[in-house]
Amino acid sequence: MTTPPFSDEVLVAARAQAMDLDLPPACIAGVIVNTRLLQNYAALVRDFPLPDTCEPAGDYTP
Amino acid sequence: MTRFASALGIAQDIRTGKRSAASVMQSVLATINQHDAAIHSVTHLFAQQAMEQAQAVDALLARKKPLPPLAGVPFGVKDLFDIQGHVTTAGSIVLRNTPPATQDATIVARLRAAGAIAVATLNMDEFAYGFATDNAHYGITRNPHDTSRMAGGSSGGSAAAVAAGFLPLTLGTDTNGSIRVPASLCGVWGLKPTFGRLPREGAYPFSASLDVVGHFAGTLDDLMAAFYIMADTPAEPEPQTLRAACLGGWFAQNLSPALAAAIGRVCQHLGLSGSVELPQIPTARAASFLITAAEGGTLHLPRLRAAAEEYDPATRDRLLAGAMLPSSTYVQAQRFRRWFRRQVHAMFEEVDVLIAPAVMCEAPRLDDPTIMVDGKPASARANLGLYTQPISLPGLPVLCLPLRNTGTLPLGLQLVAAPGREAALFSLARKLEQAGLAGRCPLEAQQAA
Repeated sequence: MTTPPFSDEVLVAARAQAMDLDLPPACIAGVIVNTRLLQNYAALVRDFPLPDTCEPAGDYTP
Repeated sequence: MTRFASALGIAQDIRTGKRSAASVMQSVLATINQHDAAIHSVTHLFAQQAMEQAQAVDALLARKKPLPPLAGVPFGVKDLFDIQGHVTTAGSIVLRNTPPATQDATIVARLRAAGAIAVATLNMDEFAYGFATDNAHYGITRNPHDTSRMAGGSSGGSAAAVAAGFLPLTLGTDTNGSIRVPASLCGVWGLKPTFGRLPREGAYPFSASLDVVGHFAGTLDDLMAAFYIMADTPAEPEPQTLRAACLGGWFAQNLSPALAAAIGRVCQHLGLSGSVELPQIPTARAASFLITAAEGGTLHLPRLRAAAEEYDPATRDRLLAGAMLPSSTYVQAQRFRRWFRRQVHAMFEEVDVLIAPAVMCEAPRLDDPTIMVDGKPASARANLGLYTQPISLPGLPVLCLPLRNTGTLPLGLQLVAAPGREAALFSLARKLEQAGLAGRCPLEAQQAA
């Protein structure tokens, strides 16, 4: 059984609720548009395979 | 007449008594008061303090005291640098009730110690989040070359003030391209130094992993002189032999015909054939975007909870979406960044300077803010950083070079070097300037002067 995907509206509402963040109604449409954009970028990063030994980048010490 | 004069030229004129510092400052203030209404680059003028400081320079000279290297040179700052006694707004009304800065930002203090005089704060996208300098609180900065077009952002006021000839030197910040995009669209020199090379103290933050302070200038010599003063290091020798390469792939797509031709002339002059490619550029851009959104959103979250309505709606909605990104996404973007840095650093074992476009086309029109991406019109605000964002990710130094004689409105190139190798950028830029391929794009007002 597969879970139906969240709509973007439900996703944004759930994330806001999890953070105890009260989104003003005037923000919601814009936040959904931006969340959708970030989801696309997140998928690119998520799908790129990295070795377990690759640590997050901290300060730049070339 | 000081309009369009260089910083080093002004300093020389004052030092030799050709002009007084006070007369320079009077001229600068008059020029801004007369011409900035059409461009809207300035958000605050420190007129009285600037005049007093100019008179102090003249008094020093009258007493035959030695003058520091930039004595009497006017400069401006993006409206996120602390100026002692002034409230730093970061282009927002959200911070308007915060106390005035108790001291100057470090690079402002270093310029002042070198004798330069802070004249103005300059317009920006709210909290530096944008490529348009379209600010709901302080208005739109227009491109001095064509006021119906965008100046670019987020340091748009800083680029426009140099392009318009108001100030020879201005400060900006660059997280995803906020120096390089407006420098390219306004046709001036811009430098995003190596991440961490210039101190950020006193510059209002946006994304701590990516924020870099830097500057704009009308001449390459001014850009270099200001860099070494702000870095508090002696000028480094410019390497005479450089291995350069053009970036292909992602960086060769979506170019306007004029820009493609200009890059071709640069490559021909340098004797370059073919190109090199960096790996995973779309993912690098995505990682840069995500890190910025998450860090910017997290920074502003407490104020967004309390006063979201005070933000520019476009900024607010981006910050809120970023604040709600899952931590796994942010950490994965930082892990990718580590991987990407290794690939980029490896390339610099073979090459000294990489050449890439800064923005794919001329400044977009304000009433039709679109650019062509993959053959389709796309939002300029979302895509002007197409070539700058991926290069932001590692933290490399990048010089934005204004191309000459393109037959168009300004177009710019990015010269990219290994970390700490700004001198290599200056060297290649000098070569292209001497060949007549690079230099500030003159305004009609400048040509008539």
